[in-house]
Amino acid sequence: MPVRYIERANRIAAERGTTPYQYTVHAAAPPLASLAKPLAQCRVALITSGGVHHVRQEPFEERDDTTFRELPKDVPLNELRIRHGGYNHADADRDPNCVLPLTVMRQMEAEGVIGALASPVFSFMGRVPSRLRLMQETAPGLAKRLRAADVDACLLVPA
Amino acid sequence: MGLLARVLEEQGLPTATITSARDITEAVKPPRAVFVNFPLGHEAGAPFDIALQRRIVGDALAILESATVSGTIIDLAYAYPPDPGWEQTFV
Repeated sequence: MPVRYIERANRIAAERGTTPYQYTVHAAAPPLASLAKPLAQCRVALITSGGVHHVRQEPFEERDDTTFRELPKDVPLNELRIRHGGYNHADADRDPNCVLPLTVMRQMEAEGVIGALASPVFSFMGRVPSRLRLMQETAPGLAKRLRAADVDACLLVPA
Repeated sequence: MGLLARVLEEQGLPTATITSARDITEAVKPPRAVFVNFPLGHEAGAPFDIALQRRIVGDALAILESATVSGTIIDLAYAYPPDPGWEQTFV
């Protein structure tokens, strides 16, 4: 049985007397956008909310950070670092592929499974309480960057 | 991330999401998702297990072409390699 994270967060918040993170509940998912061409011809963007940053970039704030980091798709994995308060990133510290699967996306690009891995790849912080700011400021900024990169599809890895 | 998936999809960009929190994904409802029943922070697989990471990412990308219904969540059958019953003892 999958872990029920929302109930767990509510229980922990009640025990501590704090306010739990309010997950957005939608009645329906948005209509599907159609893939314009076969995957083997698509430029695919990779986006994580695992709090990954380059060692020379400013780390994320653990609370309510709506900024994102751009990483070149050929960034060496050993130059990546993680700042995130919402999950245990001990394994992802050792292998960032756990939350930002660069190695296999590069393989798939080389083998022609996808047309290309878009560069840069994008990294966010998860569980942002300022959802309005995320939706109204961050998301359009991201969409603009993705369009500039001529992206056909997106792989999202929330962590 | 589910919120961003919804916005991107609404702007015409097809998205696929890899989730390890099925209940959160059921609530937020991104357009397409695969569920991997691993501890958070291993959505794309276990460390240094490139073969497993490749299967998970491949399954996620496949739903870009195969999903026909918005809100689709496909349950992937992979067991978390270090501890297949990890969720039984998770508190």
